[in-house]
Order: sequence, then C-alpha cells, then structure tokens
Amino acid sequence: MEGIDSQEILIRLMNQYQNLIFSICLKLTGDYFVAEDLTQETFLAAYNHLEECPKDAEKAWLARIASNKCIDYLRAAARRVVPTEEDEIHSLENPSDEEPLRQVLNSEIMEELRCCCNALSPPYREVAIAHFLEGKNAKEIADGSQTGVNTIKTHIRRARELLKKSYRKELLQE
Amino acid sequence: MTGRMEYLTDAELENMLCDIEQNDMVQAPPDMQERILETLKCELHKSQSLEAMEQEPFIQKTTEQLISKQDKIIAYKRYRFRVMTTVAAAVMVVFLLPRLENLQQPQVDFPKLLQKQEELIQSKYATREEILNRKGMLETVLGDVNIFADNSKWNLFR
Repeated sequence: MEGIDSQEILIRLMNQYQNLIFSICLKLTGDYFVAEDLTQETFLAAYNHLEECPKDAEKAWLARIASNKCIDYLRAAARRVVPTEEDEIHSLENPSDEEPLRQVLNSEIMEELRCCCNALSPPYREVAIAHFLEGKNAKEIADGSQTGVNTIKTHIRRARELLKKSYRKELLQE
Repeated sequence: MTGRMEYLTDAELENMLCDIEQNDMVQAPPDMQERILETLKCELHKSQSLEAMEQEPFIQKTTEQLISKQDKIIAYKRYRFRVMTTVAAAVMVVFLLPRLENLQQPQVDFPKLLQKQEELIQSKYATREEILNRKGMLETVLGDVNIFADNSKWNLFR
C-alpha cells in the first residue's frame, strides 16, 4: 500500500514539475541528454526520500535536488578533464579568478539539437524532430505515419544514440 | 554565482527558477515519465530479489545442513564398519597365521631323522663281518669249493 501511495505521489510530482526540473538540468549542464538522465535521477531520488519532502515547498525541494545533482555532475566532469599547461599557468597567475557556473539559455541548446536532428538521415530525422523537438511520444508518431509503434520506438532509440554522438562532437568542438 | 562548482544558494536557486518559469521553460521528453517508472520498477524488483536472496542462503544452508547431516551419518556408519572389519581381519591374521604355517610345514625332528637314516643304511647294507660270516657259512655248505677265483689261473685267460 505504501509503495502504491508513493508511486502516486511521484506521478503527481512528475506531471507537475517534470518540465521545470528538465529545464533546470538543461540550463545548468547545457547537454540535452545529460539533462534527461539527471531529471530521471532527480525524480528517483525524490521517490526514495519522499518522507523528507516539505508539503508546502515541493517545487523548491525538487529544484534543490536537481541543481545539486547537476553541480555534482559538472564537478565529476571537470575532474575527468586533464588541465593543459595554459590552464595551469592561468590559474597560477590569477588565483582569485574562479570560473563561475555557466548557465546556458535553453533556447540555444534546443537550437543546437534541432541542427543535429536535421543532420540525421531518414527515417531517423523525422522521428527525432517529432520526438525531441515537438514532444510527441512513440504512439502519436506511429498514428501519424504508417509504421508500427515498436518500429517507431526502435527508431527513437537509434536516433537518440546517433544524436548523442553528433551532439557531443559539436559540444567538444566548441 | 558563488565560486567554482559550489551548490547554489537559496537566493540563486530562486532567481533561476523565476528566470526559467518566465523565459526559458523547455518541454521534457515525452517518454520521461514512462522511463522513470520503468527504472523504478526494475529497482524495486532488484531490491525484492536481493531480500529474497538474503533469506535464501539461510534456507539453502538449512537444507544443505539437513542433507549433509544425513550423508554424514551414513558416511560415519560406513567408516565405522570399515574400521571394525579391518580390526577383525588384523586379529584373525595375528592368531590364525601361525597355525596356518604349522599346517603347511610338518615338524621335523632332526636327531631322530638322522638316527633312522643310519638304521636304514645299516640295515640295507651288510657289514664286513656279516659278509665274512656269510662266506664262512657258504664254505661249510659248499665244502671245499673255491668260490673265489684264482688269480693265477685268471692270468691264463688274459
């Protein structure tokens, strides 16, 4: 019974705040797919700690979890990057000049994603645009085309993999 | 924004929330909810199976203990039987072997044996006196007959 109640609470929170949480993650990380994963982690963490959720400040509580998860991800990513000599010299010369947390406009990120979706070959291009940019699920896309739901799901999965590769290449080039 | 990669303060978080809600809200992927619930289901299933596995070793162990105890009893009985038969066989060997050896080899009294042999020899072969006596007897029976060949006459035949 408790499990079912918790799941219902989770579903309600997701319906209410999933766009907000996703936007927070996207703004802080600048990566669509990383934001997707962190949003998932945020809601799973919320589910595991539902008893700590303040009833009058659910939004702030979820936002705090999401932002902390993003900061943790960025710290881990920064540790993975090997600093070059120039970076070390710069940090030595300007010890007080700490790099601030970079916040990106979500609209810019979505524009980059659109370019990557357009660069895909059919049938993945149409499926990617419909799913990632227009927000349609597999059933809605299948209803619009003459393809089965399972085939659309496979296309979405494949498009996601291709986009991750091309999207991250562009980010690295920047 | 405070420092490098530090957690946002409450004020910063609030500002960011207002900014997003007013200008920068983006739609989450449509299958996000479905994926979260699926992940949750997998995690619940894993935790339940882990709990079951934690209990299972105890049950398995108990079953193993029962099985092995029976096996151990049987093994012990077999071992005991083997030991007893080995001991019995050793005792038999210790007591019976000398008797078996006696049966195979008859007892020989060497002094008696030698005496017997001498008697045989003595009885089988006549002594010199006996031969001479027999000769004397023959002379009396045969008279004046020279039973022994005359060497001088024998030389004639050569």
